[in-house]
Amino acid sequence: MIKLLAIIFLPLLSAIFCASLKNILSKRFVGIAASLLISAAALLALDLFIGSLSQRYFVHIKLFSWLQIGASDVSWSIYADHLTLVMYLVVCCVSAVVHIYSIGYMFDDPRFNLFISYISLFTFFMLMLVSADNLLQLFFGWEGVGLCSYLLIGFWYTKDSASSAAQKAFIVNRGADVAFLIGILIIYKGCASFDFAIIAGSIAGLQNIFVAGSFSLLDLSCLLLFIGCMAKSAQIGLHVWLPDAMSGPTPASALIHAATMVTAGVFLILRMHLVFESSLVISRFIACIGSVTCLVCALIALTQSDIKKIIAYSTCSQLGYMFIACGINAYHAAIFHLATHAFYKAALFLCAGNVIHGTGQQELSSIGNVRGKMKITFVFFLVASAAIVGIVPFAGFYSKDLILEYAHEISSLLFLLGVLAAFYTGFYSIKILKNIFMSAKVNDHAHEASLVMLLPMLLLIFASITSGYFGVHFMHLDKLDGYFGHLFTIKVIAKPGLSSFMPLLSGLFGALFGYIYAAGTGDYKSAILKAAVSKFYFDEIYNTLIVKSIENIAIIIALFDKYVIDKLGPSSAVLILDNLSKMLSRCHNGYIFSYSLWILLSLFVLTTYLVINIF
Amino acid sequence: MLDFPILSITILIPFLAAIYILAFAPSQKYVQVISLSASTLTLAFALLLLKNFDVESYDFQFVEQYTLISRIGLDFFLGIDGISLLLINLMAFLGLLCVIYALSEIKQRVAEFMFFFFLLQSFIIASFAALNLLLFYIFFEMALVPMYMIIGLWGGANRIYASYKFFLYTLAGSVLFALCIMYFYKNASTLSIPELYSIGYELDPRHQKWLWWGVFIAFAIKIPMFPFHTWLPDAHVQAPTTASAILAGVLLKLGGYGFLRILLPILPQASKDLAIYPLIMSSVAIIYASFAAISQKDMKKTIAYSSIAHMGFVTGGIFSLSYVGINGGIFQMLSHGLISAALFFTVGSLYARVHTKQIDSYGGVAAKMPALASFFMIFMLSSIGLPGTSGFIGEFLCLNGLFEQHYFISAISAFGIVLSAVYMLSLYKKVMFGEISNQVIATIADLSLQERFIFTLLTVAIVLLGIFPNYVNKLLKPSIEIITGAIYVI
Repeated sequence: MIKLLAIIFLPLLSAIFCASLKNILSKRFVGIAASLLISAAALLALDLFIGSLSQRYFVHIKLFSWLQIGASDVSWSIYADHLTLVMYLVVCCVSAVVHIYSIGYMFDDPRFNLFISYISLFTFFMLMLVSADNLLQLFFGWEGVGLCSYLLIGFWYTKDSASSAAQKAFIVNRGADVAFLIGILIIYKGCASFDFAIIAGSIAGLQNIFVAGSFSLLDLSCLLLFIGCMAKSAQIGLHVWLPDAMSGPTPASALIHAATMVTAGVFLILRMHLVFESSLVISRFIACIGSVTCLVCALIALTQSDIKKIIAYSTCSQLGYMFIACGINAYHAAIFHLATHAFYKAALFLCAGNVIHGTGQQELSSIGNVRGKMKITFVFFLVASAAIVGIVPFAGFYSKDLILEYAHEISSLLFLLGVLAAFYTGFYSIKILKNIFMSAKVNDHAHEASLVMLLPMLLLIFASITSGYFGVHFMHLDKLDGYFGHLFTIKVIAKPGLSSFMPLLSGLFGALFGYIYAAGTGDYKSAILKAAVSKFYFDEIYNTLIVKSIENIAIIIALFDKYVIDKLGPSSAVLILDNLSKMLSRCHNGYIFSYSLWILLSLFVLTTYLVINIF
Repeated sequence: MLDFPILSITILIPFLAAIYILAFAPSQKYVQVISLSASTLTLAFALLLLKNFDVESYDFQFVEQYTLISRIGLDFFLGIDGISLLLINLMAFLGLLCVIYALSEIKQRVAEFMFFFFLLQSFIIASFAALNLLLFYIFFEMALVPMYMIIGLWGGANRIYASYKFFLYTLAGSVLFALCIMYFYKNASTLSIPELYSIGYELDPRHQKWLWWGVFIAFAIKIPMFPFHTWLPDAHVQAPTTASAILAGVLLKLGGYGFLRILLPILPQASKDLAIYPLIMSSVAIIYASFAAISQKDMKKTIAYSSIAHMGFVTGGIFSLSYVGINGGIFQMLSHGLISAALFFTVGSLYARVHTKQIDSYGGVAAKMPALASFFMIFMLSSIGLPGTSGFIGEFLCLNGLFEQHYFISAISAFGIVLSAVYMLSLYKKVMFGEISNQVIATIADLSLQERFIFTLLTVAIVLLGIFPNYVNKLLKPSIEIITGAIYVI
């Protein structure tokens, strides 16, 4: 219990410590102190994880009550099962690496201390999210990580691109959170609880109420929750914030927009897998969205020319794989890919960070060949790319392969889409490598990253190489009695013959084609690639459809308020009173004959009245 | 329970301070001492009330009753339950912060300002404590006068128009309320609110509807609900910072308080029949006011419209007539009291340095005022209801209570949470982020000690309410059960 508390609250301690003493302490001290605290959390998480390999681990602590609603009591809690432990391990390790790396990368920034406190705070919120035993605490973490993402994207707020991107990220996510919140409300109405365990036990009530046709209330709530996940995990349609988010500092991108926060959506589905499992139609919908994202974003990635944007789109695409796994109920495959992806994608981002730090450039064409100057980064980059392409025995091979095997069982279309995406993955990965390590234009000004940046990366590189092998051969993820055997229903499938090599081959072919054909920036001939360069016009469409119309409605309503509501209400009342008083004051015009006329008239009326009354 | 009249003392302290300042016209320095000690003392007594409050009891507590004019049913009848207790504490807390703020903000006629301010504070606390309908009405109306004077004397360039509009608009609403009071006295021959609770539903059902609309409109203007809201943005823009903070922080809550104390329990049947109208008005208000906030050019107007939207959640929660919704409505009132006051203080601090409220004149303030930037960020996030702050609890409970009864209205209202993010984030971005373009901003200094003190206290209160809402909800439980009991017994 102490270990769990320490894992969660050490990052919070670090965040508060760095933020409150940011003007007093030196950067060096803050950097080292925060790194030590987070590393301690990471070691504890590793310790718990290793313990759980040999013995099943489950601890459920309710800290104290947060909010009592009716009969249900929402508590701050730590719900630590194997799923949580894997998330702890991933979040804490990547966070620790990024903390140390940032000492090198961000040291020249005057607000270094604040930066460190933000990433520590992020780590805390992420850990709160994965420790939740109820939807509200999860939502607390969910919004908290969104906030930190907003703060970190907009960290260099004097740049308009950064502050706009931050705002965009927050608002897109917030918009999806409306759906998420309504989903929570429906579930609460049906199950009278926010606890995952109780919800999973009482979904029958939701299942039997139909909204339209055979579409039940359960399907509706799953759909609404999934819309929230789509924004957080940057799935197609709501992914538009993620590429823009790259205007934040690279270590933050590595931690938040690659390894951890964006997987929150996947985590939610895994945590509520019993609910999602019961809704077949939404599960399949998730798989469809996942596969489309997987393919389309990989396609966009291969046409981009900014190194961070390519990796960002590749993140969307890889998250698509995880959602495919979620949609076909292969939850263990999803968490497997989540973990391996976190390591190699963080490694990839930090490698890109080294290059950006060493050259000051982000555009592939302007970086030039840095292989001579950055040998270690070159090796790291190569390993991380091998992992993402899925070459044996690197991490990505095992997890991607597992997902696609399950996809093959369900539908060959899903499988083909996944394989095609793997082809593009190979293509864009080699495109980066070719441009910055093999181009003819040698960059002489580049310099290799410092040791404080390279050493922590070793951990990620190590994990990128081994985590796949480890997952299959030590955690037996694909076996019934494996690490997740008691959490998820695992369907053991016979190894299909040729198809199991398809992802690998396709990735290799992609790499080969990429090596031959890829160019830094290119004029693409085919219409589809042209559209892909423009990111399939999502931003433009949303701008005209949503942003512009919100602006216009806002202007119209402001005018309506000023010239209609205000004029009809108080101003017209004032006008009426004004006219009445003018009418009355007209009686006092000072003419004797006017007064005598009024006297006569009144006398006439009064006497008539009296006469009528008498008779 | 203590044996001295602690409730009337809480009301009297600011009143006596006001009278003293008026009568003896002390020197500037002395005014500072008196003001600070009087407001601290008020807060201390308010906290004493909190400490001695019996959470379990379903009766009004600290009751004091003396007959004033028996012919018209006017008693000096005071007493509080959980709702009034919390609102009195909110007033006392904000009162202290406002005095601290005003002592550095107000440069001219400090003594006069403090006179009006303490009168205001006293009347507001008295209206929360009054248990006689006529007494409530008197304090409710009297509170307008000092606010009118403060806006009219210390306000901005267009203050006369704004103060007239504010005064006349809210006064006009009360005319109907006054008529209703007469009806109550004629037909129930008592104006004691607790007695009316048991008599209310015996009134002629046809008349109940008319009574309901009469009382409703008075409070709907006060809170304010769409379409009776247009006085609020004007009043805010012209009011000095402290007046804005009290206006948004506490004075608006008199409307919500009126719904809970008078409208729902006295006229339960009509409330049940007619609740759908305020519910529709609430969801319209949330969406409408949020959109209106997006395109404002004046910081205070944006925040004023955001107040209207937040009050939409309050009325939505209250008129859902469910336990959770009413709980949420009250919680949202408290939370909005803190948050809106905090936002107006923030704008006040900016205005004091840059001397404009136009959003376009700002940009890049974060570089010059990092402490303000952090506080503003916290307040902005609470305003858009981030979990962990009080704003989330209020909005979530309101939506949840509303969802139990009217899922469609609740779903529409839920869009308020993304629209609030749109206007608050773009306000923050335009003011705090970007390059410094205005030369005045290049020279400004960060927060003073007083401002830091005020902002820190508000932050602590907002976060505490967000993390430990149960404590407040426990205080409210008996009062809410009385209201829902009155509605569901028939």
